[in-house]
Order: sequence, then structure tokens, then C-alpha cells
Amino acid sequence: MFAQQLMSGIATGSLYALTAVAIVLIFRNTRTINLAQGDFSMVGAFMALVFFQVLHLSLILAFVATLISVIVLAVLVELLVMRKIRNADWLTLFTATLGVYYILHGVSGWIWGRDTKSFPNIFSVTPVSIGGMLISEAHVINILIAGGIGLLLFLFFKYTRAGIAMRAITDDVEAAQLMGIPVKFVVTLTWAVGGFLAAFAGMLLAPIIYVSPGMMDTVLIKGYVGAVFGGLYSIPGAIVGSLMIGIAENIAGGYLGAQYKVTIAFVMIVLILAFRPRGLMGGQARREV
Amino acid sequence: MPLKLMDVEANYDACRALKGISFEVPEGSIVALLGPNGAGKSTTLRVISGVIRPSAGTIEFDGQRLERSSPEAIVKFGIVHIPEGRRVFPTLTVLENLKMGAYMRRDASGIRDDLEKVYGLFPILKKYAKHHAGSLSGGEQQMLAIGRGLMARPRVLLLDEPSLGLSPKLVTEIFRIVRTINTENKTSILIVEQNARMALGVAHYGYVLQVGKIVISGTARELEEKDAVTSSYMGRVQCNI
Ligand SMILES: Nc1ncnc2c1ncn2[C@@H]1O[C@H](COP(=O)(O)OP(=O)(O)OP(=O)(O)O)[C@@H](O)[C@H]1O
Ligand SMILES: [Mg+2]
Repeated sequence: MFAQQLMSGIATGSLYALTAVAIVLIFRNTRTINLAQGDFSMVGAFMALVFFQVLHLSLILAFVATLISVIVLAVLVELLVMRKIRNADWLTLFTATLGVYYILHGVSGWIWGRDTKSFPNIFSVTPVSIGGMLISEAHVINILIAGGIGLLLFLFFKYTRAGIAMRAITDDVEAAQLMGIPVKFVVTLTWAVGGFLAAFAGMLLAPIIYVSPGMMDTVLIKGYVGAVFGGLYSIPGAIVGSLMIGIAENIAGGYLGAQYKVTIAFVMIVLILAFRPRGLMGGQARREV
Repeated sequence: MPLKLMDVEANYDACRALKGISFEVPEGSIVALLGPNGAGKSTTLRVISGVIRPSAGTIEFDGQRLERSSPEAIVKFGIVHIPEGRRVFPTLTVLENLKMGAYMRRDASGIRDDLEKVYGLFPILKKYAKHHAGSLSGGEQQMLAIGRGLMARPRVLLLDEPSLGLSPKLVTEIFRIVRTINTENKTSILIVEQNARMALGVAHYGYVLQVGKIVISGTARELEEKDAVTSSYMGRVQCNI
């Protein structure tokens, strides 16, 4: 029982991590706490429904089309909104993303309606047995996909020129500029990676939490809490934080009742901010990928 | 082709940091830019590398006007600025830092050759290639900052106070390397220094900047003889409009 809850905790936590990592990436390169990150996923979930159920594209085509749409959306937000105010203080940047959040909520509600839509279960929820533990196939696949994305990001940041440049900008924007790194382009690329992560989060979460303009509201909070675990700088910290939230809420949900699931994320953020304000990884947060 | 500044002015908000300066860095030469704190030396380099736009005047290199170009374009022209305070990327490894110096280049084999050259100049960087740059000592970081700049294969190197905070032995070493870079690659070097004697020791020409204006200029020999050069280092000058 406990091991099973641990596994489903890791499965949901790994989906929160997609949001948390995107929040970290965008924050550390632009000082922007992106409140619209969850809504990128939400728009992605609606787009996936359009491509899959309305336009009857094949699963793989609908998936690729959704991925591209969400990346385009994130890039447009950067080019049309954030770039114009990139030198403003963090509160202005934060407020601008709040504006984007409300616009995306409003426009989605207007186009697709405010009621909750179900999303087809792409992966079977029938339990499979792993090492004597019963776990739904969807959980296993979610963990594998999130893990695969994590590996992909790791390789990107470690071995590609653009990935290393993204970390260089995190360290020192002006020095990066002096080396001829095209900072504006790399920042746009950072938002594109945010869109990429959002698309996966949206499509993987939609069968679980259903599709509506507000579907990502609590996930955004949990992703943000996960990001705070890493001091908003550390990717490993954000991943660990997100997994802890997933595990904690599953265990709390199992023993205390489902209504405590969201509360637990808030309890955790208060605890972190009180005891480790610079994140779980503390001072070494800036040392990591 | 020389790098040529004509009547260049620059402001920070209300502060007029450069009040019309003109000078040139002849091809293949070392030019020392001297002056007290707050004179505008770093600002001069930042204007050349495009980090800040001059409010008036022209900057010319290789028959091209640079004063409206982006920092990326200026690196492509072959002008590379190694900033004050080293500014290495602390969480990147030494090797990653060096790779970022070559960001604009596409010639993989040329980059490999230059990496070996940099390792030849600074063997310590090869030894610590996989270490985080932030874990290096000040002197090692300065070497990395210079090596990273060289990876862009500069035709003009802008060096801002490379000897700052280093032990006398390391200062001598850094100046020896500055001379080597100049003679071996024919790289022109514009060097900003507090250490006037050392800088004039390697330079061909020198300029002394004071509150945004060039007040003395001449060959390095001429400047070495003038007491004014060393005595101009008195106190910090506040920006006046
Ligand atoms: N970012 C900035 N914002 C406002 N004023 C600035 C800024 N940077 C420099 N200044 C001002 O411009 C003037 C020239 O500064 P600059 O850094 O070019 O001097 P410097 O000759 O390099 O001095 P130092 O020897 O201290 O490095 C100074 O009065 C300084 O206070
Ligand atoms: Mg200076």
C-alpha cells in the first residue's frame, strides 16, 4: 500500500516537475516568475483535443501539432510581451505574466467554454504488476516520459552549444554578450523550451485532471513550490521538490483524505520559506546545471 | 587597419562618462589607456564592444562603422572585450567557458587548434578543464578570462585591468602573456590599467583619460617620462555633468 502510494506520488510528482523545471529555466534567464506557465499547458490540452477529436489527426500527428502550437505560443508571449519590458524590475515582469495568465484563461474560456471536458485516456489505466506492486500503466508511462525529457534536457545543457549558452546567460548576461552569444535569441529559446515542457505537462495531465481553462491552476502552484525547492535556480532541486510534493500529497491523500492534497503543497512552501529560504539545495543551487 | 574612435561621447542616465574622446589603436600595436578611478576607461571599452551605445561620435574598424552595431556583430568583426573583474561563467566548467568564447565561430578545426594554443599559453586551464570556473583562484580566473577571449580569435583585444588583485608574480606573468599574444598573433591590444608602469612597459602608445577626456597622449616612452601619468591617480573622481 505504502509502496504503491509512493509510486503514484512519483508519477504525479514527475508531471509537476515539468512545470517546475520550466519555471526555473525562465526565471534564471529572465528574472521572470512565469505565472502563465500552467496556461501554456492548458492551451496545449485544448489544442490536443482539437487536433485529436475535431480534426481527427492520428495520435502522433495530434501530439506533434500540439507541441508546435504550445512552443509557438510561448515564443509569441516572449516576443510580443516580455521582450518589450525585459529591462524592467521583477515585479513588472511578474505582473505582465499575470496579465498573460488572465488573457489565456479568458480567451480559452471564450473559444472552448468554461465547462470541464474529458480527455481520452491514451494509456491504459489498468494496473500492471511491477515487482509485486500494482501500478497503473499510465503512471509507468508518465514516469518514463518525464524521465526521458529530463535526460534530454540534461544532454541539451551539457553537450549542445545553445544549451551551454543558456547556462552562461544564467551566470552572467553581460559577459555572455561580450562573447558574442546572441542573448535575445537564447532568451527566446529559453521560452521555447518552457513551451516544450508545458506541452508535455498539458497532454500528460489532461487525462487525469480533465480539460478546462482553470485546469492548471493548482498544478502551477505545485510546480512553483517545486521550483522554490531549488531556490528557483537549481533544476535537480526543482525535480526533487516536485517529486516530494507528489509523494507527500499522495500519502496525505491516502491517509487523511483527498481534500488535503492541495493543502500539503502550501504547507510545504511555508516550511521551505521559513527554514530554507534559498531552496533545499541552499547555497550550492547556483553551482548546478 | 586601425581601430579609430572620433569624438565619442557616452552617458549613463544623467552622468556624462565620456565627453568626446578621439584616439586610435594602430594595427598590431599595444595601446595603454590610463587614468584614475571613474575616468571613463571601462566605459570606453564598453562603447567599443557595443554593450553601451555612444550618444555621439564614430567608431571605425576595417573601413566599417561600428557605433550602431550589436555586441555580437562586433565580436564577429574581430573585436573582443575581456571585462573588468574577469567575469568568467562560474557554474560552467573551464572547457565550457572556453567553448563559449568561440560561440560565434563555425570552423571546428580552427577552434580545436585555438584551444590547444590557449592550453599552451595557460597549461593550468588544461589541468582544470573539467572544474567549475568558480572554483579557480583569482589569477586562474584571469587566465581563463583571457583564454576565453582568445577563443574568439580576436584581431583587437580590449583588456580591462587584467592585473587587478593579482600577486606581483602573477602580474608579471599576465603582462608577459599580453606581449606574447601581441607578437605571436599580431593581435592589436587596447589595455586599461591602474598599473601604469607595467602597462607602459609593454605598450607602444598611451593615453591618459581624466573625467571623460583624454588629457595626455603619446608614445609609451614619452608617457613614462612624464610624472603626470603616475600622479594623475589621485582619489576617485565622481561623475559630473
Ligand atoms: N552603470 C553605470 N551607471 C551609472 N554611472 C556609471 C555606470 N558605470 C560607470 N558609471 C560612472 O561613469 C564614470 C566612468 O566610469 P568607468 O567605469 O568608465 O570608470 P573607470 O575609468 O573604468 O574607473 P575604474 O578605474 O574604477 O574602473 C564614473 O563616474 C562612474 O561612476
Ligand atoms: Mg573600470
